[in-house]
Amino acid sequence: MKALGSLEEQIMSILWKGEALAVRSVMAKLTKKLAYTTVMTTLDRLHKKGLLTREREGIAFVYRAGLSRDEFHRKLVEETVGTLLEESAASVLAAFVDTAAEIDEDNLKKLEALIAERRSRK
Amino acid sequence: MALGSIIGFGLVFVLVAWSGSALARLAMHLFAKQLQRRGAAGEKRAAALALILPPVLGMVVTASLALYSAFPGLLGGVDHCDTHGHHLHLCLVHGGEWASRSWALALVAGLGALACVRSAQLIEAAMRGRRRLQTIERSSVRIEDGELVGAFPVFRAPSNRPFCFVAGIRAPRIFVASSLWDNFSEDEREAMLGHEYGHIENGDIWRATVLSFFALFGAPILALQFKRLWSDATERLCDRMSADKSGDSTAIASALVNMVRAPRVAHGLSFVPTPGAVENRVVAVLTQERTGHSLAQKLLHSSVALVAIVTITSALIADPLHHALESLFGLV
Repeated sequence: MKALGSLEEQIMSILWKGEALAVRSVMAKLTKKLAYTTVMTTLDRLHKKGLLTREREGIAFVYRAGLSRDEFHRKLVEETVGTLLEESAASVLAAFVDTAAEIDEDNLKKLEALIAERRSRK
Repeated sequence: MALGSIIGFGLVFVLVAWSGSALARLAMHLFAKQLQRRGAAGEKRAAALALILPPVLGMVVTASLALYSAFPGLLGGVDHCDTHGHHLHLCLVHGGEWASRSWALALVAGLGALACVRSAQLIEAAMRGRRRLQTIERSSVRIEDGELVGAFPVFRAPSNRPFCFVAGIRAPRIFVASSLWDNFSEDEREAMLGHEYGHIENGDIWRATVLSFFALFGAPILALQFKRLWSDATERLCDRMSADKSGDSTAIASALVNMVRAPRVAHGLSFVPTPGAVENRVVAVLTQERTGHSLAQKLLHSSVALVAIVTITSALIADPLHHALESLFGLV
């Protein structure tokens, strides 16, 4: 999942309000006047990215947000962090815990027992 | 200047740097327990020096020999190229024939090309990383909790995937997954941020960048091992610093355990974590109270002395040393 461009973000902000809109309705809500084809192409691209769903109404499509704003940002962050750590980026960041770290349950229980024992000494 | 001579001196650099890396690895293996007992700062410094010193010494020896070959009179020598002719010369003026040695050409050119490709990859990864961080920052909310948040910005990023990291050399920022921030206790949050502040205080981000650069010139697998050892020691040192700040080592230990316990989101990470790294960190922060700063200081002083000794010695023995290396390479 990629970050949204400026126009994509404006269109998603309109559709995240919950309405299902056709191209002309989206155009009317945009602050800047844009060509019909520009808006239609952007909506189509967002649909292909899986961010919008669409249904045919007459001869035109009506678009609706397929993901909520929170869901979109959550997915975007999770995927971006995954790639960032994978490519890493040792030079870019220092992670608290290697997110791929795995410990078996027995060892985790032993560590928790050790922590509890230290706490009880206080 | 004979261009082919670069190959001869390239071989000298590789020989010194790689054997230095091998010796450093042996030393770290032999003294692993002592280093661990003395604390994470000592281990961290030892790993960094093991990575940096071999290429530096390789450069020093190579530069001494190159200077000697160009200005033999400068170091009290004679024009060595007149004194023997039975093998190729390590000489800036008369070393052109190295270009006809296919094995030497292939080795030096291959390693040089590899270093260039790797450095280009590092630069590209850093640039891509910067863009990705901007993306994460735009989706995140800056935490304004005055008591917990210190001088550097902390961002709560919406994510079920557990993570917490500090990023940025000039303007460090901390990013915490919402799933951790929302579920950790206040002590755990404080401990986790204390750990990240430790990275910022220690300048770990720029240090990691420098190490990545030197890793391009050390023996390939060993350089990565040193980097991993440095990384592990760095994390343990920041755990210790966090525990010392809050006066409670159990908070950071508990944060580590809870982070590993947090539900995972599959993303197919390709790198392999050091086995037992998190267990070691929890046990270390609960049981090891020494930081090892005095050892780190001693190691730094010893290294400066070592570089000075090698510089002076290689200048003084440049004549016999270059003969010995010419003979050694002549055997291949």
